[in-house]
Amino acid sequence: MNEHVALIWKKLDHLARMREYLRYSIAQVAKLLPIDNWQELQPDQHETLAAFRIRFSEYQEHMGKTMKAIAVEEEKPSEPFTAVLLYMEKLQCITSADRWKNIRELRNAVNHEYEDDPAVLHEFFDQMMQSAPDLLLWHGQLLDFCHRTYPHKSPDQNQ
Amino acid sequence: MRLTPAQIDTIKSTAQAVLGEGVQLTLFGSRVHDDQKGGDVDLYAEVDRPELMKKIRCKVSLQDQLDMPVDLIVKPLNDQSPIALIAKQEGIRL
Repeated sequence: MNEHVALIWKKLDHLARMREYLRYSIAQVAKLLPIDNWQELQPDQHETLAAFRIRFSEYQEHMGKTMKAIAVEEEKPSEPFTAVLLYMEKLQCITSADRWKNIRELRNAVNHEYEDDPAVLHEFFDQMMQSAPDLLLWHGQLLDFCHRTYPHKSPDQNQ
Repeated sequence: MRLTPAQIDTIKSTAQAVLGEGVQLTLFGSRVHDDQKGGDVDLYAEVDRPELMKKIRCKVSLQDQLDMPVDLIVKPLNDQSPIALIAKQEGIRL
């Protein structure tokens, strides 16, 4: 295994840990939704929502970096990032580059736009909850590709 | 304004397709000014009922087609928020 492939596996191991944290947050947020009155949320409930938002964002970001590392290893174009997404689409690691971009834009909007309208806040979290299964699925498909292409006994194989 | 007729057509047709035929578009920010350089494409869109995922799809599609960063604000018709007033006072209707 070359050094770069070892780095890809390190990223995948980290991604696997992030996935477990995200799954935990998904379960916690599912218990909270729908939220009828945002004003009545307790600090621990705000913390649950914040953890989900951050874990969702970081999970996609780290998956993107891992996909880029795979494109580099396979000597495919890695800039602009759309080239990586189209390559991942071709490998069937992701369903659609557009869907990936829409989720990325959703997370950017959630992280950068100050929003206090309860209806919009609810839509943000509802859409992230709807998008999380896509990220989890793509992670699994990415892992399948890596197991086939870069044989390695990772922690995921023991699950 | 610093947009080509083709770019304006792209913006209008994409916004109408994603946000709805009735969308009203205003270009504001630095691209209104001919003496400035670079900068994002700041767009203010008014629709009957703003929907988060439509806004996101529209922004992603515009960025892909224009190959430029786009800042898209979508508000209900006749919104009176500060950003709505700034965009409509300083902007150019497309």
